[in-house]
Amino acid sequence: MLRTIATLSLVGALTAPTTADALELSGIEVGLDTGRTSVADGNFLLFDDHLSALNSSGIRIAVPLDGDDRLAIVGAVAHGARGATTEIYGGSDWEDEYTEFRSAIFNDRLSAGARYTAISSRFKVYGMAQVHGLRSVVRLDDDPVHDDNATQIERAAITAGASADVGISMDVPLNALTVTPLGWFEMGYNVFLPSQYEDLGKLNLSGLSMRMGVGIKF
Amino acid sequence: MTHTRLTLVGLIALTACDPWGNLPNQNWTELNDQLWDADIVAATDGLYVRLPHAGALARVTSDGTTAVVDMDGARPTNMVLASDDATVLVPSEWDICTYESDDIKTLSDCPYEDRDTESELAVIRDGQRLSAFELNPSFSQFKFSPDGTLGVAFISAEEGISVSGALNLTEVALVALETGEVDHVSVGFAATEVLFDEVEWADADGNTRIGSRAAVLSQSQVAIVDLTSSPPALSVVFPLTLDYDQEVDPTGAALTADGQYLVIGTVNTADLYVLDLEDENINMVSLDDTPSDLVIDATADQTAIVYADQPRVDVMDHDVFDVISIELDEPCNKIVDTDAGFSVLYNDAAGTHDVYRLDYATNDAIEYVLQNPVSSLTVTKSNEYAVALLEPEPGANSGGLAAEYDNNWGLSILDLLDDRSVDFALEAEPIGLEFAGGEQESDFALLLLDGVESVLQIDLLTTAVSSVDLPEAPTGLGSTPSGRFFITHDSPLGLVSFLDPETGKIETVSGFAAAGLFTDDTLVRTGEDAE
Repeated sequence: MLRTIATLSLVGALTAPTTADALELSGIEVGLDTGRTSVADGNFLLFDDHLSALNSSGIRIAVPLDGDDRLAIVGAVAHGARGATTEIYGGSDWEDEYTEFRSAIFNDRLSAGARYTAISSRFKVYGMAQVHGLRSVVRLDDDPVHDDNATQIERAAITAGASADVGISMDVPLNALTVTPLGWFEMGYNVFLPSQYEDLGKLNLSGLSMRMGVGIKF
Repeated sequence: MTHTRLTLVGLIALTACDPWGNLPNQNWTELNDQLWDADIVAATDGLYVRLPHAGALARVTSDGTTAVVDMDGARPTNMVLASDDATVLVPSEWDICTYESDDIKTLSDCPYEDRDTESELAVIRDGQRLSAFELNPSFSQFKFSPDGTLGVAFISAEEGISVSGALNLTEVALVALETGEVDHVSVGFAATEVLFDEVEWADADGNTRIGSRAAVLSQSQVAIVDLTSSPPALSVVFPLTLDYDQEVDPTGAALTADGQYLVIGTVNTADLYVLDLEDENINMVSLDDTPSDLVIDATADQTAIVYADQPRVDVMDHDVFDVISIELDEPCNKIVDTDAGFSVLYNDAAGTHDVYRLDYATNDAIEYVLQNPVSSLTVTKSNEYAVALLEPEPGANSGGLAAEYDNNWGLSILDLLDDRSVDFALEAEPIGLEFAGGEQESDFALLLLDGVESVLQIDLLTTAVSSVDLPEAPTGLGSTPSGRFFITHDSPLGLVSFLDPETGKIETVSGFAAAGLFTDDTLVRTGEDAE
């Protein structure tokens, strides 16, 4: 569902120039962002033994609520995936033997919140609070070479959470453009309720987060 | 421009529609424990599978249902099927932290020096943990009374010994499976075998029990445990030697059906011990050589003894213990008894080709000459057929069709009613052989060959062989009490196939090993929680 929303949003963004003139878009920011949450749950190492990072990328829109651009509401959709090959040692004293399977997690996130800009100059420093709906899907496959492998496991979970971030953004006005390019970087902490993947068990996808993005401001 | 947008949208849609074709794979991770152990126990209500990574026990049934048995936080370390085919005994353990603090929730929170492990024996039936009781995990070998109500657990050095506090290595544990009561009886050092008689008796509640005595064989002595007393108690000990510097290790033993005599062969001696359990005396029967195997046939009420180096079988009656020798063409070192008035003799060590059916009524040894030496032999439960697996014999220098037998592994079906045999040459080494149970018990054999992604189904009556394709490479097979076969596959996430030998239909259950994949080291129980 969220994948569909993300796809439609992207299609909408691609077709936006044909309809933008008809809307009042002044001050609205639209951008693409990417980031990761460093998941503290040890079981997440099944998907990323290196960084334990839940990645996602998507679209973010910020709509100012006041004239001096201090307060804005923020909405975002994002999709991400992470995966690894999991080895299991099954040998004996005299012979090493490994079996393996592919483990992957996909996530779709829908976010909404408020952003308050504390310092407003060419560089803006802001704080942001959001609530999130997160749907994640775990897929396990012990023979990924064959699409019809009998042992393909898929379990999905939906959870909710919230985050608090601090960030910095920078506008780069260019006279040749009617819109203002901008970029941002922010860090914070995501808190999610545990995600229950049926018989597989629970994952807590909370953790430190870091996101960055580029966009335009009308 | 429009085409570019449509192409981009199409690519995104394709990605969304093929979730299994594109699983991200950015790095490698490792698990220390297998998700499942392919040493499965087949009970009447399904297959019980240990999940070492999750520390759990799963029950898998042929209808595709998988359920995790609630073990109250304990990790199963082993499984034993009781003789009733319905009860599974599960030695299990759990971690505790001896340092008491409300802040300690997981094993990781606990200081290393305060970590400990406790254990119990859980009784599982119909997917439920019925009871559990404390039993040192060193008691890892089990024998069950004929009616399945009593288990005798003894210590095996091969399975590892866990000494916690003081462990009496001369004890066996008698486990009443219905009540969970455990009684320990000291029987002798290094118990190796437990035999039960099949005498019926009534307990205090009037219930009929089968098995009034247990004979426990250990180093240099045999202890008889009276099972009719409450609690079971040691009734008599038969020393096998009066010289305590001398070790006498039993090699084979059998109880007569009435439970009066216990016949024991020993290592490196040509003496046969006949223990009279009623009158509590020992008769020594001198043989010409050291026996390699012996059995007692309940129907004939006779003992058969074979010798690895002597081409003969001795038959001993149980009245005056006279021994009659029957000459063979080749020596046999193994006997399989049927309790139906005959036994099957073979040799799995000498490279000989002969198998014999010993008829106790006529004292005849009917010879079957197989193409290759026997590596193992199994008699079906109906006693109508024996199936022998044959080793290749590359040095035989044979030619023509005989060379095909000599160069390959083989299988021989012996019709024990009509005294004929049929030999097959096999594509590869057999790694599994099972027979269908239930009403069709002896009609079908299932054979698994190393590296072959199918199983051979053999109709023992017609000797017709058919091949059944499998969804994945097999690793082992077994049979269920209900008469079906199950086949395990090389699948880390769990894959078992059920084969109905009547229809050839295969039903596959997959993915059960992923249950509890996201596990942690939460301390579920404290030491005081043990029942």
